[in-house]
Amino acid sequence: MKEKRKGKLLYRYSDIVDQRLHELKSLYGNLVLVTMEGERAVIIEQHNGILRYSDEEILIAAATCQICVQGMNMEIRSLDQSSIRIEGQILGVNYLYREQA
Amino acid sequence: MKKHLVSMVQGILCVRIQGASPELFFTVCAQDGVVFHSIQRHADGEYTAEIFSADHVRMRHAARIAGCTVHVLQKSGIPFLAAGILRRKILLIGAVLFAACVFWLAGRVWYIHIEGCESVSQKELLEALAEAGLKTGVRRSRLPMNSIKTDVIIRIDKLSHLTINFRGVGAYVHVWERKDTPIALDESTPCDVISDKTGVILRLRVRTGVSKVKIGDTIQPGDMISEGTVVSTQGKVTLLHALAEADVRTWYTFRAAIPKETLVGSAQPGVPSYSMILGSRRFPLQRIENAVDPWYDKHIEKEYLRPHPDFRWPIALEKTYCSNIREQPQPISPDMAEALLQQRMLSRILLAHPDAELVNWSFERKESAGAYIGVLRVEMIETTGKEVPIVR
Repeated sequence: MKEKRKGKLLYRYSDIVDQRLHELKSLYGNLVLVTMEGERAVIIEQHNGILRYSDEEILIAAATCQICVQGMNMEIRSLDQSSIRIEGQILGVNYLYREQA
Repeated sequence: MKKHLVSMVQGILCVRIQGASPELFFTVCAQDGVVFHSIQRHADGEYTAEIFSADHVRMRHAARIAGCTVHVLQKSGIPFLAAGILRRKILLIGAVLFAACVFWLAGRVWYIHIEGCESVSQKELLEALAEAGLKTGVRRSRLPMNSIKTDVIIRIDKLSHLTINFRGVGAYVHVWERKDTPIALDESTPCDVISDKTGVILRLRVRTGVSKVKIGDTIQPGDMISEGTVVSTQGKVTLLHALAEADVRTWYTFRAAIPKETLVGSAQPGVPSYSMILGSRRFPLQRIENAVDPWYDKHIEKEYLRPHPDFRWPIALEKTYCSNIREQPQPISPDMAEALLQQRMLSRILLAHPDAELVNWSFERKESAGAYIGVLRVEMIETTGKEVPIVR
């Protein structure tokens, strides 16, 4: 009985979290979200794919701009529909707009 | 760790991607829902990556668009391992046989651990257990535990109780042996009378045997009071059943302590809750019935519907008070502590020596860090005289 109630509660919480995330998405539209973990990793969410990939420079397409991650010995640790995780020695992250690109 | 386990269960493929536009290939794949791990660039236009085995088919579409070729370099994970094993039938049969063997062996008792044996030997107990049905190699689920216990207790007289517990493949037998009560010796059995107390002899009654002590002597446990071996002047030895007892004056000192503070609970009346009783069923009229405090005193009052003093309907209104009990430290006064200690210690002494006569006693109270210590010195008159058979 308790287990069932717990399950229901978790389900309800996950529903709430889902709803909030959708609200956030609608608020920010399709803006790219860049998270940096020190100088070791960069996580880019809501990307539009890889444009260029080398050890020193990775160029990622986003809705409004392009993101250029520069560094040394860089590697894409994971890639899926929503996010890219880049690991290595990160030296800089640049946002390139249409004119610069 | 969890991610690693999931990938091991799903199966991982290490693939090499070559072609005109690998970046486009990765982008299209990601949009199709393919998840890549550890994408590494080796040479111009050549990449390696790890994917889940289920995503391999989905990559064809992207490969066609981007003009790339995908080669599987390595396969790892449980699905590939299982596929490799399933091809080897003998290995599979061996694994199944091994599992069956382990299952078959795990349901049996493979060792018996015995505890609590003092006068009964372990060998004797193991033999009795084997005869009752518990021996190494028997199947655990088929053992009639109650009949085994009864059988063993019947077979070995010295046992009063035993428990059998199973842990893994072992049986843990704990036995309690029967404590023999001293049996009064027959009057024809030759015996000596010895003391089992320390004190000064006040009165002495020797009916048979040779007295070895006199009034005013100090005796200790084991000292002879009356001897059953009588040697005549002609040198003839006669063994008698000695009968004697001595009243001895004994002194004891007892110590006990109680803390200087105690916890006293004070009840605080809570909000009453009401329930309706119809027949044998109770219907709460409030939503929450639980007591707000874990320490509470519950008082229930029932008011039945009575049209006549001798008759009542099975309908009642129940009123429940939950008085919270708050415990608070309260110091104990020295006088109260002394009275308590004195009363408790005296009652304990009288319980321990029911046949003794309390002649004199003195009580002294001492104080130490956080406790009162009571020292009780008593003087009693007790009767002693224990018969011990003469071993020829």
